[in-house]
Amino acid sequence: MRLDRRQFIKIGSVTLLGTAIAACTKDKPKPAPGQTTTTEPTTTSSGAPPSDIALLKTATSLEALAIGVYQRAAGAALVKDPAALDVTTLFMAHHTTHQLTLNTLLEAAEVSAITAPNDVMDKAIFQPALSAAKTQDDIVQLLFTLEEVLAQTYVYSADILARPEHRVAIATIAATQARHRVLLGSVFGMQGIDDLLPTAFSKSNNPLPADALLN
Amino acid sequence: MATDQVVTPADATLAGYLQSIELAVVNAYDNIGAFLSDTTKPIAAKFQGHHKEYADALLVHAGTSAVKLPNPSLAFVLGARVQGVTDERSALTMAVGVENQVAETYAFALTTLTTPDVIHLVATILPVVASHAVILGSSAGLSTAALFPNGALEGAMVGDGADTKLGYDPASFPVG
Repeated sequence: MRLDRRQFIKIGSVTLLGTAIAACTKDKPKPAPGQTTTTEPTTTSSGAPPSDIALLKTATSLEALAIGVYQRAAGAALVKDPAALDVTTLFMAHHTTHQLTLNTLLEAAEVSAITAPNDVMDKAIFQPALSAAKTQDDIVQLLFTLEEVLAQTYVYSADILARPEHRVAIATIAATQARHRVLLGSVFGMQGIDDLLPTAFSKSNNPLPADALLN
Repeated sequence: MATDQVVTPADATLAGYLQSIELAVVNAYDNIGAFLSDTTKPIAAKFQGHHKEYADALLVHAGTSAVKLPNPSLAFVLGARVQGVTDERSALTMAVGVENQVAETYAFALTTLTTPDVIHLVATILPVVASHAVILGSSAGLSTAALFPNGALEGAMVGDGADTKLGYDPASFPVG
């Protein structure tokens, strides 16, 4: 089923954007949005707070998801425009760097690296959306939503992260993903400026379903 | 914007500094307006409005460090850059550089801020400022690589203003 761009633009939250994708595809069951789980403490001898570890692990799993989504999007061979192909290749490389950066922070906190994609987000939203995509526009809209979800998750996380080095890493990644988002939306998605930046401030509520957060 | 948290003196000082940077950026947009077309003028006006909002939001946290005037050193630097603007593309390219440097300045601020309200404010500003740079750069016809001057991660270092990959160092741009 063709994804309707206006449907994404008019809905106010990223979670609902993701829900809209799922609803447009196969009506897959989706978890409740915008809630956080009670995090089980992750003890590390480094002394990093458990909430920092949970958010870093979740972010790393989202980066692994992003790499996988970009790879599968390329495999679908629906993106034909050479400029769009170049951009998606660059963005995938950025996500690889983000994953590496976040895993370096996890390892510094004596926590094992995360290499598996966020399974909840993949199964609930991105797998069905990729299966339903039929055109380059569908893929661009999917990647736009992916970047928006990640950037918003990281802005939300920046509020909570206690360690400055964790906060700065997450915030600098969020800014790059915001760049990805507007480039996809403006150049390839043909969205207007008021749709792309409806306010001067980024959304900062948690866009993930509760079970997408890793403890 | 009301705040119910005590802002540390260091964070208040930094908020005042960031406010002074924002006021200088607001003025810079005024100075390039004459070079913009009907297509790009509304974009610049929107982004200038965002920077006014940032200055207002930072004012709340700056306390006695709040400023009334643009950062004088940055106003001087940007005024000199405007002298080199000859057409729309160069005006937009200048604005891209400014937005990039402001984004990097906010990332730098996050390395030292400790007051939750101020951290929240800066964290919600940074991605939008970075987005400004991309939209302006696309309008100027810049290459994709130029839209990501620091690659995969936003820069969080500052300098004397000459290198657009670095933010504005408070030591080089005293508030006054």
